Amino acid sequence: MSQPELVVVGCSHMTAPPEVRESLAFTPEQVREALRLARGERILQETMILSTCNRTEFYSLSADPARAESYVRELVSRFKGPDLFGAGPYSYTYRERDAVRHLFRVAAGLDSMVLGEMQVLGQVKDAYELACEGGGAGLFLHRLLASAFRAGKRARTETGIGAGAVSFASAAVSLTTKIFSDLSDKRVLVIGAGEFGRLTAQHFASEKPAGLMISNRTPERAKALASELGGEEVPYDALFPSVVRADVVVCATRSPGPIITADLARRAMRERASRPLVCVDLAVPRDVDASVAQLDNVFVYALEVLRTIMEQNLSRRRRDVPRVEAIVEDEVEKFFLWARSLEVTPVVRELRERFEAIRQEELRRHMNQFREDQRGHVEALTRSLVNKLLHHPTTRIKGFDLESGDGLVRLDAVREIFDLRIKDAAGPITGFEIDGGRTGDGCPEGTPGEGGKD
Amino acid sequence: MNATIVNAAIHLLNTLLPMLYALAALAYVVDFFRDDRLATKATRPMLVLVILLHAMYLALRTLSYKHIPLASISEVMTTTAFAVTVVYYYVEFRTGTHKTGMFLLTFSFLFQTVSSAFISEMGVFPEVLRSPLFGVHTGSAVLGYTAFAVSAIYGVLYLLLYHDLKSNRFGIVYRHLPSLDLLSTMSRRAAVLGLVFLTITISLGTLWGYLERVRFPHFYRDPKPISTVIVWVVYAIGAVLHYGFGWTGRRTVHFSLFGFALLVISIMAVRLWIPSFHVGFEVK
Repeated sequence: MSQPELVVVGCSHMTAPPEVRESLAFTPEQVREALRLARGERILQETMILSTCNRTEFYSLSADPARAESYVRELVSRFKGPDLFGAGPYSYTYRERDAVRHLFRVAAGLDSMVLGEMQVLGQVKDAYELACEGGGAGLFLHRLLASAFRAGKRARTETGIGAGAVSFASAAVSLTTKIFSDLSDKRVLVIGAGEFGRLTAQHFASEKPAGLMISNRTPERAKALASELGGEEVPYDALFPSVVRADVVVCATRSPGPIITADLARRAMRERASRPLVCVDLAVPRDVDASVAQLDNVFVYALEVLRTIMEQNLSRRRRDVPRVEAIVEDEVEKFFLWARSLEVTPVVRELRERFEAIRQEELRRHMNQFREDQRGHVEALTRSLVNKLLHHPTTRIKGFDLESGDGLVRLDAVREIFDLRIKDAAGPITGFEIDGGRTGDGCPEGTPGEGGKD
Repeated sequence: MNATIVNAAIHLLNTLLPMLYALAALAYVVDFFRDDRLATKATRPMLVLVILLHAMYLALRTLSYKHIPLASISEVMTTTAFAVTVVYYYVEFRTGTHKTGMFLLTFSFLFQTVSSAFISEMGVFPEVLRSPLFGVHTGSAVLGYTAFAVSAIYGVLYLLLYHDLKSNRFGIVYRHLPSLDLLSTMSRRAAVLGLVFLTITISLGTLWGYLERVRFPHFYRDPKPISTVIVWVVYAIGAVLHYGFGWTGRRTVHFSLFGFALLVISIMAVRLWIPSFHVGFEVK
C-alpha cells in the first residue's frame, strides 16, 4: 500500500501569458463544480483549487500521483478545452516536498507577480474555504494549509517581504500618510475617473477619509465612481472650491495642459490658511504645474517620484528573500515531520514503546514490594498484559486504509489519544488570522508599469 | 531608614543610571534603524524602568542630603536628564509613536553620564534649597525649559522631514521618522507642557519673591523673571495662534523654534549679566 502524496498541477504568471491565464481561470461556481466531480469520481483523496488572475493550480492528494496528474489535466479540459492545460509549456507539476514547498512559497508571496504581494494569502484562504465547503479538504489539506498560512504570516511579520508600497496607488497613499498620519479627518479630491483615477480613489477610500470628492470631464463617470466609493461628485469646470476644501488632490486626467496651475494653487493656499496640501500627479502630460511644488506647504508627487519609491521598496523586499526562503524551508520540514507520522509502522512502534516505558516505570516503582523469587513472575505477567492490551489495537491500526482520508484521520486520532505527537511537527489548524490584504475577486490593479496582484 | 543603606542605594543608582539610559537609548536606536521586534518591545518597559529608578534616585538624594538636587551643575544635569525623559514619555504616551525616542534618550544618557561621573555629596549648600516652595518652583522651571527644548527638537525633525519631502528625497529620515503632522503635534504638545510648567514656575516665583521680599528686595527688577515672562508670552501667543486661529504645520514649528531661541538667548544674556540664579540670590 503506497503512501498518498501531494501533487500540484497548474499554471501561473511564471509560465503562461495573461490571455492563457485568463482562459484557465475558474470562477467560484466552476471550482465548486470541479470539486464535486472530483469527489464523485474518487480519483483524488483531497483537492483544493486555487484560481486567481495570475494562477490556476490544483492541489491534490493521491496515492497514485501520475494518475492524479492526468486526471487533473483531463478535468481542466472538460471546463476549459483540451489545449491549454495539456502537457505543453504553460503548465507545471510538482510532487511531494516540491509541491508543499511551492504552496508555502505562494503563501509567503515569493511566487507572486509583484514580489511579496500578500493578497495571495487571502486568495489561498478563499480556495481552502471552497475546498472545505465542497468536501475536497481532509486531514492532510487541513494541516497543509495551516502550515501554509503560518509560513505566510511568519514571512510577513518576521521579514520585510511585504513592506512598503509597490504600486502607484499604494505609493501615493503611503507618501500622503507621511504628511498626514491619519486621513480620517482629511478630504481627498480625485480629478479623473479613468482606470488610474478609479484605482487610486479606491486606495484612498480604503483609508476612510473624511470626504472623497470625484471630478471628471464626463460628470456621469464621476457620479458613478463617487456613488460606488461613497464619495461626492464635484464639477470639473469649477475646481477651485474643491481644491480649497481638499487636503489631497489626485490628478489622473488626459488633459493636454495643467489643471492645477500655479495661480490656482496660490489662491487656494491663501484661502486654506496654508494648511498643507498634497498633489499626486498621475497624468502624462502632467496635470499639476511644475511651479506649484515651489509653494510652501504644498507637496507635489508625480509618476517618476512614485516609481522611485516603488523601486526602493522592491529592492528592500528582494533583500529579504533569503530570510523568507528559510522560513519556507523551516515550515516544510515541520510539515513533513507531521506527514511522516501518518505511517502505520512508526505509529505501532511508538505505541509499543510508550506502553513499554509505562510498564518499566511501574515495575521500577513497585518491584521492591515483591520478593526476589516473585519478581520474574511479575515481569512476565506485566509483559503479557501489555502484549494482550496492544494486540487488538495493533491489528486494527495495521488494517487502516491510508489511501482513504478516513484512514489518515484514524491514524492521527491514535496519535492524539496516546499522546504520540512528534515534537516540532506542524501543529493542527486553529483558525485563520489573515488580517487585511484581501482583494476579494483577486483582480489585477492594472496600473501601468506594474504587474497585477496575485 | 538606615543612612548607610540609603547612601549605598544612591551610589548604586548613580552607577546604574548611565547604563540603563544607554540600554534604553540603544533600544530606541535599534528600533529607529532596524524595526527590530525585540527592540520595539523593549523600548517602553526600558523607559518606564529608567524613569522609576531615576525618580527614586532623585527622591533619595533629596531626603538624604536634605536639599532639592539643583545645587550643583551635576545635580542640575541629572535633574535635566530626568526631565527630558519624563517629557519624552509624556509625548510618546500621548502620540503613541516611539520612533523619536532615540533623539531624546541620547540627550538623557549624555547628561546622566556626565552627572554620574562628577556628582558629589555637597557639604555646604544654601538654606533656601531646603524650601519646598523653592523646590516646586525650580523643579517646574527645569521641566518647563526641558519641554521647550524637546519641542524644539521635534521642530527640527519636522523641518528635516519637510525638506526631504519637498525635495523628493526618500532616505533614512523619510523612512523612519513619523509623519509631518505627528511631529508637529509632538512639538506642540511638548510646548504646551512647557507652558503649563512655566506658568507654575512664574506663579510660585512671584509668590515666593513676595514672601521673601525682605531678604530679596531686588526681586522686581531681576532680569530672570522678566525674560522668563517674555518667553512665556511668546509660547502663549503660539498656543493662541494654533488653538484660536488654526495655525498648523511649518508656521507653528517656526514659532516654537523662535521661542526656544529666545529662551536660550535670554538665559545666556542673564547669566552674563548676573552670575547667580537671581539678583541678590547667590546659589552657585
